Amino acid sequence: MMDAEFKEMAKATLGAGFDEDKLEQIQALQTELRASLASLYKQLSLGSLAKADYLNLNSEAQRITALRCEAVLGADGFIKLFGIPAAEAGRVIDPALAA
Amino acid sequence: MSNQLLKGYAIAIPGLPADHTYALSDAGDRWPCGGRCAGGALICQAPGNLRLARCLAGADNQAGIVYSVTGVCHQIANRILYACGQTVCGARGYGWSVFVYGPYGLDAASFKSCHPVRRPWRQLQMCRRP
Repeated sequence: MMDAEFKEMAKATLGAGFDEDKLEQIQALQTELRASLASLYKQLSLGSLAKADYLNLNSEAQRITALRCEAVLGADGFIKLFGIPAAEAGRVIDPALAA
Repeated sequence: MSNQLLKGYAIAIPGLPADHTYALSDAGDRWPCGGRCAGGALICQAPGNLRLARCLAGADNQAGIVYSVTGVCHQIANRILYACGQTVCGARGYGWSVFVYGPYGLDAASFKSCHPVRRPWRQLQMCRRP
């Protein structure tokens, strides 16, 4: 289930009349992304993935998810909801802090 | 411990679309949230429970967040600022980081987002004990 907080934020930024079907699609993408991140973390924890590779794959998973969200919301809708362009979404992790 | 003003700040990170966030208290605490803890813009403040904030930050000031795994600086700051009821929602990139990690970070075991009531993170459970 989508975070209640995210759903509230979505409705606040996109308006109460926003397409619920689209929100459900975004929710599904969120679930999928977190499953991917969980898998990556498991590999990192087991030592089968190097930290640098983990960070690259994490960012890439976010970037791809963002593009898929943009396909649902449109470019303007994505920026309205998330505040940044979809192409930038995989870059919220600061490599200097993750090292 | 009496209430003190707790504050959240946002700093632009050169070359990145998201702001770094950190927290301060009027009692002199600085919680870097993994990065810098000076400069930038004040984005939230409120009186809060300083004892709780210090406890939530933990000895390493990471508030139980594993950076990039269960959250980024936004989630670290939010966990600490829970002590005053504020979040760093005014930071750039916040919408996306919340989508990925939730406002209070992910639980490392389930990768579900933490919540103060529905799914409190370990530090909050410990720090709320009388």
